[in-house]
Amino acid sequence: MKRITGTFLAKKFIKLVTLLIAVCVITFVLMELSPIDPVTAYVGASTKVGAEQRALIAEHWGLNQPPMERFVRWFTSIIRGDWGMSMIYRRPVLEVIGQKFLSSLALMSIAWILSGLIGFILGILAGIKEGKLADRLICAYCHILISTPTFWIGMLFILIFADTLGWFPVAMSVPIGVLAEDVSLLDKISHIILPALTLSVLGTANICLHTREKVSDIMKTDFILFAKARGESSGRIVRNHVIKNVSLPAITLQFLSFSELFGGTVFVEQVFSYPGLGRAVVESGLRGDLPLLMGIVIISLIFVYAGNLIADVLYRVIDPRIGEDWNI
Amino acid sequence: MKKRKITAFLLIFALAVSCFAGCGKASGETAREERKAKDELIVAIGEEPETGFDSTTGSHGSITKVFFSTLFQRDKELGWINDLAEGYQVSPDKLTWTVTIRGDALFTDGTPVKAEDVAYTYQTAKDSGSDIDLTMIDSIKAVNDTTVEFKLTRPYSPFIERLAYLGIVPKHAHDDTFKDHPIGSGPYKFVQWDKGQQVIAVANDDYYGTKPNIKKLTMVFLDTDTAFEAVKDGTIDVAQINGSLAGQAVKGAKVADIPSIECYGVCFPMIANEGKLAQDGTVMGNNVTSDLSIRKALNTAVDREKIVSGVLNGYGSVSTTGLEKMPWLNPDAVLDPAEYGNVEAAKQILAEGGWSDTDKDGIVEKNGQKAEFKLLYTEGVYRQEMALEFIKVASEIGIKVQLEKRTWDTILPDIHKEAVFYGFGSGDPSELFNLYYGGCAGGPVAWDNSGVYNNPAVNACIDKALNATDEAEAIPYWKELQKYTSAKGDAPYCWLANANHVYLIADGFSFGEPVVQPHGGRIFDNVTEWSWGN
Repeated sequence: MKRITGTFLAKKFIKLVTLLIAVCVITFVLMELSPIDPVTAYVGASTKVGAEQRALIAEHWGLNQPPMERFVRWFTSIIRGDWGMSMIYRRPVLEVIGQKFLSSLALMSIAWILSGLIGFILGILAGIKEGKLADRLICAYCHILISTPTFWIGMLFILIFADTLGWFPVAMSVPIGVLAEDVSLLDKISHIILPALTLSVLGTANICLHTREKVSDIMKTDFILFAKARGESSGRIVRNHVIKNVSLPAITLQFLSFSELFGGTVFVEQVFSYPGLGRAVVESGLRGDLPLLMGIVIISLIFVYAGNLIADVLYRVIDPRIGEDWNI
Repeated sequence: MKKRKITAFLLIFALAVSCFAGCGKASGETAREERKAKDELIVAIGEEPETGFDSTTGSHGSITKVFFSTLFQRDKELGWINDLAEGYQVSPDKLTWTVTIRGDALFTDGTPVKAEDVAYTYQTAKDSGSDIDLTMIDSIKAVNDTTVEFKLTRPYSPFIERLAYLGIVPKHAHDDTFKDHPIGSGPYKFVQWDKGQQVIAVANDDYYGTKPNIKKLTMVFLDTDTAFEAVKDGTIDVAQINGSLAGQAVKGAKVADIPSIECYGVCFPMIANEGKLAQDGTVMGNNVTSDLSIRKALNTAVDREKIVSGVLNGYGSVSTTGLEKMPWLNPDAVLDPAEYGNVEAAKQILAEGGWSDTDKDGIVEKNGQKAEFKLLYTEGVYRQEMALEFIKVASEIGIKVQLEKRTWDTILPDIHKEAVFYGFGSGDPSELFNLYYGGCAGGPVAWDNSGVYNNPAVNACIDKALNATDEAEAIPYWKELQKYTSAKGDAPYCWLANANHVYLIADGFSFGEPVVQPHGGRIFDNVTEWSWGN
């Protein structure tokens, strides 16, 4: 069993590396094809920077070299562990990503746990009450959510909870005008709740609807009928039979949702002026900051890939039947 | 029983909601009262300098003036006053600028500001490969503690502009961490920067100039809509907004609009399309706009007052030269109110120029060429609305203008052959070089003179102006060239209006007397005058 796990992980690792290289190349080609000129994007539409200075800027950042050479240089340095300098921030890419990723990570993990838990519970509830009022309400709720854009929900939340009710702050991750040493944990929490809630709403519907399908299937099986005949209460049925059977697809979905989570933060951070990776992606793309964009692409790819990998591994841990055949 | 439970729950919920809501609103306003009492201010103005507060690696606009002092500063009427400097002298060959600085200025770490720091700041900025263009400097030398010598590669009269936008950094403390913890000699002392969110500053007690009224200044970086909401609920006190939001009444706050020289206008390609190529390989010229009567007719037809009242909601002023409110404006170049907004006169100009609508399709033609061209514009406040008004008026006189939204990147391929909608107004006369100098046309910077205007008389004026000793000596030349570049001359542009900079400010707050605002804003220039009025 152990030996097989080793080859499984090795294969996955090779897959990740090839994927990374492919994605890097594609991103680079797309950036080259885009009409964005990095020097112009760096300077902005300024008339104060003359042609001579533009040439100096291009030279400083190595933008005057042919694309192939730039890619090779970037690629070799990244293999050596040097991710380059971000043009926008004039700092090492790793420093920028590290800083931004940390605040995004807090947001994403809260949203991820919330959406998983709420989605799972609602899904089971809807599944066992199939056709009843509770089920219809939950389904309607999910259908509305699934067809609503994240940024719109964000704006709605700001309008209701921040603006009208005044429960939460409108934007940012720390209170305005307060010195770092005076910021309490509670302050930080109150700033993260609204964006995290917005982000989790997106995942909830997906998980809920899938869980509901599965639960309703299980509720129709013979062993549930048998349990009912034995006189087990619905609570016991859920605990003993439903949760175990339904957790498998739910967990998979939950880990597969990493990519949606990542995409969702881009919007949420924009709406809430939350200082995370999402905003950096937008900036780096629009302003032709190649090292930063590539860095974020790599990090996000690893992040999503890790989600999928964990789902794969958990699948096998929870359901040993799958473990017998370690094909990928 | 069950029903009662639900009702009870609903009641509790409603009570909780209304209680929280009440708390939220009230706390915002009391917080503002507290800030007023303690002379503290929270503003949402300006962009965050992502590179940090190191003035040697990037100009961060007007925020520079909060933490740093610059050598010189534009005064309220766009003249020059000393800041850190006590004066300057230009050598007879115009190649050496000697600047003397005051001896009593201190950095916020307590060390005095010396000429050496100034020289270091300029040299570092010159070598940084950033958007600070100091290519005209040959060498910089600190002669003694209070005298700096700049040797230029060529005479350059607008050089003082470069001496006014670089914040002076201390040589001894300028290291890798400086950008996150800047030390300057400006009116405020840096306290804290939450990246992507806000910067907190406190008044600098050692400041050599007038001490600021506001003791603690917090600058938050929010988008306009969020900032507007935050002023409404009392979280912040001042926000820059656009004219369309200004119409909404806000309790506890009012709209402040500050006159600006930020001017919008349409640039016309000035040569016929004969397949001539620019340096970057794009085609130059347009057969319609290269005709003087077309450009004059459009200049005559557009009703600028309607644009100011309609598009800008009154927060702006008419511009027919792009240079209104600047000291180098030539009053003779300005169009009289009777000389624009006149469709009949415009039609006549077209008729005299040989344009007539022979096939009765509503569009005039001349020698088989229909009067139609594209107007390219980019996203930005007011731009689309102004452009729409422009093409509407054009159609009234029989010129078909097709409006196309682009980004700056996608405008570039067509920038020399179609009309382009621009916003200019840096408050620096050398901008006229970028706009009208023949040598810039089709050069490496595509939007410098993108209309390919080339008039030897204008070029001569610009050469003389740039070669002058300083701005005062150059101004007559800057004025002279407007004879040709105005709507009364060759009309390479159709200037429309200056858009005021509009702010939503809490009751009681005052900006004092701000500088006339250039493109991008210079609101922090008089930050020491800001006050709560108590």
